[in-house]
Order: sequence, then C-alpha cells, then structure tokens
Amino acid sequence: MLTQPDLERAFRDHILGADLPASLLDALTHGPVVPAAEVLAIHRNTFALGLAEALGALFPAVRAVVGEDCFAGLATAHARAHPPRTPVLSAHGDTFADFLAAHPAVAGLPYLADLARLDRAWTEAQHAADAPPLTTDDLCWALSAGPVPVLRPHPALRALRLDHGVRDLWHRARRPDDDADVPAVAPGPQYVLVVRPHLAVTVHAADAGIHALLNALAAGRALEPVLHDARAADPAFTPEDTLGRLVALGAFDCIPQP
Amino acid sequence: MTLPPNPAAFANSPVPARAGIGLKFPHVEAILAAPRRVAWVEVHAENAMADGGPTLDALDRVRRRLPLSVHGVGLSLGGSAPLDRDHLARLARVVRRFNPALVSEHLAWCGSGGAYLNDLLPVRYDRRALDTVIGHVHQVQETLGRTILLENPSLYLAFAGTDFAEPAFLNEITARTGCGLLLDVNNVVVSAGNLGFDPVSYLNALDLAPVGEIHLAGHHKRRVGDALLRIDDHGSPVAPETWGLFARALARTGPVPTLIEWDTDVPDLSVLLAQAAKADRLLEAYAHVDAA
Repeated sequence: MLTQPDLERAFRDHILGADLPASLLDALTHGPVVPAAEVLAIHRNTFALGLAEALGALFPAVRAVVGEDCFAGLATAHARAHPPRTPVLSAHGDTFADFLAAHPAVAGLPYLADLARLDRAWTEAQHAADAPPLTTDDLCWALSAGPVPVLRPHPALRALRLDHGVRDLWHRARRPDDDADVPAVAPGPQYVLVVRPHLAVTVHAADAGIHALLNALAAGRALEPVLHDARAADPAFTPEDTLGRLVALGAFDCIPQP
Repeated sequence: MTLPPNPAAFANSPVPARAGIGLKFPHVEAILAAPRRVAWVEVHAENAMADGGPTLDALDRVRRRLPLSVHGVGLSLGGSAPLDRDHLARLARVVRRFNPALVSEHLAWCGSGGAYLNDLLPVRYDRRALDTVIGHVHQVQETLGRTILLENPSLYLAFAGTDFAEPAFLNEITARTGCGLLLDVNNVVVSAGNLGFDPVSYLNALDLAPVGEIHLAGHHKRRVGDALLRIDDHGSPVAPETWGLFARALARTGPVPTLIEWDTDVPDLSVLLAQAAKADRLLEAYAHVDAA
C-alpha cells in the first residue's frame, strides 16, 4: 500500500501531467459513483484552469495580446513546468516572463516577455509595503538640515529596462474596452518606472540616466556620488529637474526624521 | 431571536449567528456604502497576504465596519509534510493585523515537494494521518494563540485502507485539539453524492457541539455515463438538498454563524445578499434550539 507521502507524490505528478499510475488507482476504493480516472481529471482541471485564471488576472496585458485560448495554453504549460511555490497566488508568475521569452509558440512575438515584465512589476508594486513617499518639502528640509541625505527608493518603486518599447501597447492592452488604435512596439531599449506612492499604481517613462541613478540608490549608495556619476554620464543631466520629477512621482521613501 | 439592529455596531465583536457573505473585492465599495445590509464577511487568508497596498486598505476599511472571519486555503493541514513555516507566519501576520473573530482552515492537503497544487486534496483517514493532522492543528493554534475551525472537505474519491469514516476522523480531531468545526453543508452533499453515502447519517455521526461556523454554497452537477458527478465550484445558488441538510444541522446546533460562499462567476452583491437573507430565515426558524 502506498504511504501517504507516496500517495501525495503520485497525485502531484498526475496533476502536473504524468500518466495515471496504477499504484494510485490501487489506493482508491472501487465503487464510488464515478470512475476514479474521471474524477482525477477534475483535480487536474482545478490545477490547470484555476492557475490559468489566476495568471490571466496577473498578466492581463499578455492575455489581451495573445487572446484567451492561447493564454490558457501558455498558462497551463507554465503552471506544469513551474508550479507555484506558495499558496499566495499573487506571487505566482515571477518566472512567466522568462518562460514566454523561451517558448517556441510565441517566438513570433518577441516583445511579449516585456509585456509580462511590466504586468509583473505592476503586481509587485500593487502589493508592496506601504510607506509615505518623500515630498519636495521633506527633501528641501533634509538638504538644508545637514549632510546630504541618503535617498532610498519607495518600497513600491520598480525601475525596468525593457528590450522592446511596449509601454504604450501595455497601457492599451490593460484597457480592453478602449477603442483607440493599438499602438506599435517602439524600438528598444525602453526605460519605465512603476510607482505606487499611495494606493494607485502608475507607470511612467524614464531614461537610462534615471534608471542608473535609481539602481545606484537602491544599492544603498549615497546621493552625492550618484549625482556625480550621472553628470559624468550625461553632461545635460540636471539634478534639480530629475530629482524634482522623481519626488513628484513618489519614487522615494521618506527620510527618517532624527 | 433578536437580530442585532446594526451590524456596524458589532465591528470588532464576535461574528453573529447570522448569515454573512464571502468578501469579493469588486463588492467592497458597495458593501461599505451600506454596511448594515451585511451581517459579517469572510475573506480568504491568502488574499490578505500582501505587504501593503489597496487590498489591505480595503480590508482595513471593511474591518472597521463589519465582523470578519479569515479562511485559509493553503496551510495543507492534511499533508504528510511539515507545515510551511513561512506560510504559517504569513497567516499569523494576517490574524494579527485584522484580529478576525474566526479563523478557519481545511481538512485537506494542497502541496507536495514544494509545489502548491491550487486545490484541496483528499486525506486518507488512517491513524497516521490522524496524528499528523492533530499535530498540525496544535501547531497552528499555538502559533496563532487561539483555536481555529477545521472544515470538512468536498470529496470526489475515497481511499482503500482507511481506519475511520470522515465524521469519526473529525470527532477525534476536535476532541483532541480543542479546535472547532466549520461544517460545510454543501461539501457534505457533494461528497455524499460522489462517494455514495447518506448525508443524514453523516451528520448523525458527527459531533456538532464544536461547530462554530457553517458554510453554504452551490455546486455544479455533471452527468458522467449513468452517474451524477457533483463538482464543488461555488458558482451557483445553494442547492435545495443543501438547504434541507442545513435545516437538519440547525435543528441540533441552533443558530450558528453561516456563510454564503460564491467564488466562480461571482454575481452582483444583491444575489449574495438574497442568499444570505434566505439563510437568515432558517437561522431565525431554529432560534429556539439550544446548542447541541
């Protein structure tokens, strides 16, 4: 007789796509109303359809671009290859963009993985920790109060470098009822900021300089050398304008008051 | 029974012995616009497992107005593997933040080898599984510092080599852990249909004193050859036979907090409230019954 761990493994393997093992059938009673193989298909379906629906809610732009049926096929293949590691389904799909990038069925849509990266960043921002964003007043106060402060990115900030310019297409794909024309994919790379200073997630254009600056601050570097590097990389860089715009977007965490 | 005149006044208090509804996020603003229509709500614990953001904000706002129950679907209490400590810690965090009146989980397993299978899978009711589940329930109750309710599953298949029928298995767990029972009446109807047992005999064999909550939901019926398969999809109104079994349970328990669950093809809030009103009429009809 199968032990409980063996039973669970056999069940799991069948749900993830393996043929029905005789040992699992032997572990079941004969005589229930419906044949066991038919019933095991329900559990298989619950896994595949449930996760396709969950993934569709997490990647609406990808789903809108490839269509419901194609998405369901991709999502099921992804769920079987990369089953969720946690019951918190909002965490499911952290491997979906890379999965799409490598999947032959969508090789003709090379920008699809970037749409998935943007969908994913939106979800991460949506569920990130809350924090009051740094305001212009906070920054002025901090700059006047003493040594140049350490600026930390807001917990919800995601700074992306995409291979393809999908930001407009992504916006359009997240609004299925919009009857505006579908925008073209622009040449890449494209830099994008995803922010949620309060309750609403928004997505904005960025550039290579902002991307480098935010990554350096996220790595814990002090503001002064980061601004120095930014000026060296781009003589036209104006710290006041760039920091002013990022502060206005809610890209920074508040500075702890002494 | 005198119904509470204003559920809002009962926020942060125990869930009343009335019919509540499963909280769906698209309904939140409609609920908050007129919270007196809703006696209490239940939320899936996993949907509240975020670091921050609008989901937790919505739940905070609902929590200030209505009694809340937190219902976990992912702890795998019936699995042979040790409990996922990270997941248990997340549940503890949700319970700390929202201080719900009730916390419940399932008699089921839902993962193996680190893979979460997005389902509530059946436990073989033998002595070893009994000890495992009891150990897991103790661990959860110690971590949360409170008792939980354990829900009977909906089943599609049965195992050979069991030592207990499900009611006896549940009776052992409630007696030895002090946990309560979340009696899902729809699950009894679904399992009874699929496995060919009598739902009334099942209820008669079950110790109902620990029942702290009842679930009601609809299920889908599908013909497979000559047989009727009942699929627990929570996507339709409560079935007549489920209402009948609910009344039988109430005749023994008296009024118990009762939840209308609707998780697929979620309709307008008014449909859920109409189902809750129907359940409330039965709860009032059995108001004279003292708890079993």
